[in-house]
This record gives sequence, C-alpha cells and structure tokens, in this order.
Amino acid sequence: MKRKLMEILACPIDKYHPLELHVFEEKEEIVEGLIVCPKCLRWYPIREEIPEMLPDELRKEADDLPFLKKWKEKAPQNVVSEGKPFNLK
Amino acid sequence: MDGYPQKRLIRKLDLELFLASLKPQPNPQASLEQYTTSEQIAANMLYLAAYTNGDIADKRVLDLGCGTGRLGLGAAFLGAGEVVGIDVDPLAIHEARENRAKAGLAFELINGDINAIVGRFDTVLQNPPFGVQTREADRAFLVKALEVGNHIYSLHNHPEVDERLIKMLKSSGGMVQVQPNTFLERFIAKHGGQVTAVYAMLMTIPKMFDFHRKLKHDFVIDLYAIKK
Repeated sequence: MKRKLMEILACPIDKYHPLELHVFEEKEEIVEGLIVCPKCLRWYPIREEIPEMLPDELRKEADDLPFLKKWKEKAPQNVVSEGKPFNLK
Repeated sequence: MDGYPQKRLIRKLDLELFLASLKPQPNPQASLEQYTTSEQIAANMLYLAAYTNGDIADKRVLDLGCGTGRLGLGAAFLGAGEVVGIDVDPLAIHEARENRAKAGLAFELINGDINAIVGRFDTVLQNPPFGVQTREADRAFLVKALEVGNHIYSLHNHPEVDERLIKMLKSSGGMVQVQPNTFLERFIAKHGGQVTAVYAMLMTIPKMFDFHRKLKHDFVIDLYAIKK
C-alpha cells in the first residue's frame, strides 16, 4: 500500500482515525507493516502490500500471531504485549 | 465540447472487452451473496457514471465491496484520478490484485470491513450484497457510501418479479428507467441522499448455489444513481 492510504483508513471496530503506521519493509510501496488503533490498541497487519482491516471475528490467530512474532522487535512494545485481538503476552 | 473534463472517449465495446478480460469470483460464497456482475451491467454502470454524468474521469473513486475489482478497475480504465477498493473477503482481494497486475492500472486495495474507510470520495461504485440471504445487508453499504461519497452508483435487487419488465429488458438489451423503491428511497433520504434516477437491467446467472433451483435464473437489478 501507499503511505497516502492512511488518510482514509479508520479502525473498523471503533471508527477511530487517524491510525498509527509502522513500516517494516518498503519498496515502491509498503510491503509489510502494522497499522495500530491508538484508542483500542487493535493492530492490523499489512502483508504482501495489502492492509488487512478485518473485524475480530474474521481474523485468524494462526495467521496473525506468527506475523506479530516475526516483527516483535520492530513493533511497538505495548502492541506486542497488550495488542488486540491477539498478543504475545 | 463543453462540460466536464474528459479523457479520450472509450467505446463501450472496448470497456466490455476489458471487463471480460478480468477474472471473476473464483469460489462464490452464498453467505456473502457473491456473484460477479455481468460485463454488460458493469459496463452500463460505468458508462453512465463516466459519460452521462462525468463522475469518473480525474475523480476520486471508491469501489465498496470490490470483489475481484471489476468496477474499480473499470473506473481506472476510464481515467479515474484515483481508485480505492475494499472487500472483506481475502480470496476476492487476492483475485483483485491479480486483475490489477494484469490490467496494469493503479488501484489501491484493502482487505477489510467497509467501516475501515473514512474521508471523501467524488464517486462511490457498489454492488452490495442484496440482503436476500442476510436481510438488509445492502443498507450498511448505502450508509457508508452516503457518509463518504458525493455521487453514488449502487446496484439493488428489483423489489418484485415483473415479467413485463423482464420481457422489455430482454428485447431492448439495455437499461429501462424505473421508479425507485419507496422504502429504499426513504432510507437514502434519511441518510442525506437523493435518488436522481433508477435504471433496471437484466441479470442472468447460472446455478451457483444449492438453493438455486433452476439452471439459469433471470432477474432484474436496479442501478440507483444517488447524489448527496
């Protein structure tokens, strides 16, 4: 995704905007990263250039936790330990 | 010619050929009421938005519930300034990405709930779930479209089976202007929108889901042109 997309993204749970962006890998576009809602501490992965802004019931822990584990050094500490809907605590 | 800024006019046949070159929904799910809009319906919708109303060229366009990206990529093909597509189904987004790569057009994709979108768009294109399986599922799409868009083009199920209208559409092959559904019109007004026109079109779908009894099914869908 392009950085500019952050202008139109909100947390689908509490509709909060603007969200925080953490970029892990960037080429012409952001390849991998994390979008965080500062209000509810939900985190949303950016994988293969696509932001995944899904509600909790459509997320898969088995897909999402390994992603958080992979980037735990670069992700904000409170997201790693207290982030929703899954965290590494 | 006076009027809105327009890029080179694209022939409708070329638009239909472009749309037909894109991959349709690979594995439709009944619960999301997924099916791919026919090329003709998508082309009619895009043509109306682009060339009758001037709502595509150089505009910010949102494809809400984009599926495999036909409407969004069609808008990009017709010279939209910027196009964003969002869909809750990861498989559909995967196909949309492949279609984008094949088309070589700019189209920002989000895998998400429609409530992840804020901001302003000149034009919203949508083919929401009709709410036949999940009652009034299309209403949430209308609310979001009216929240973020100025001009909305939205497909809805025609309220009743009208054999005369089906016959008329079969012989004309195009669109027939009809009256808006009173409930839908009231709902749209309540959320700050005004229905400017409704066009009926014929959709023929092959049997896809177990609950479809016939091999082929003709039904009428209505294109609502709405302004905020």
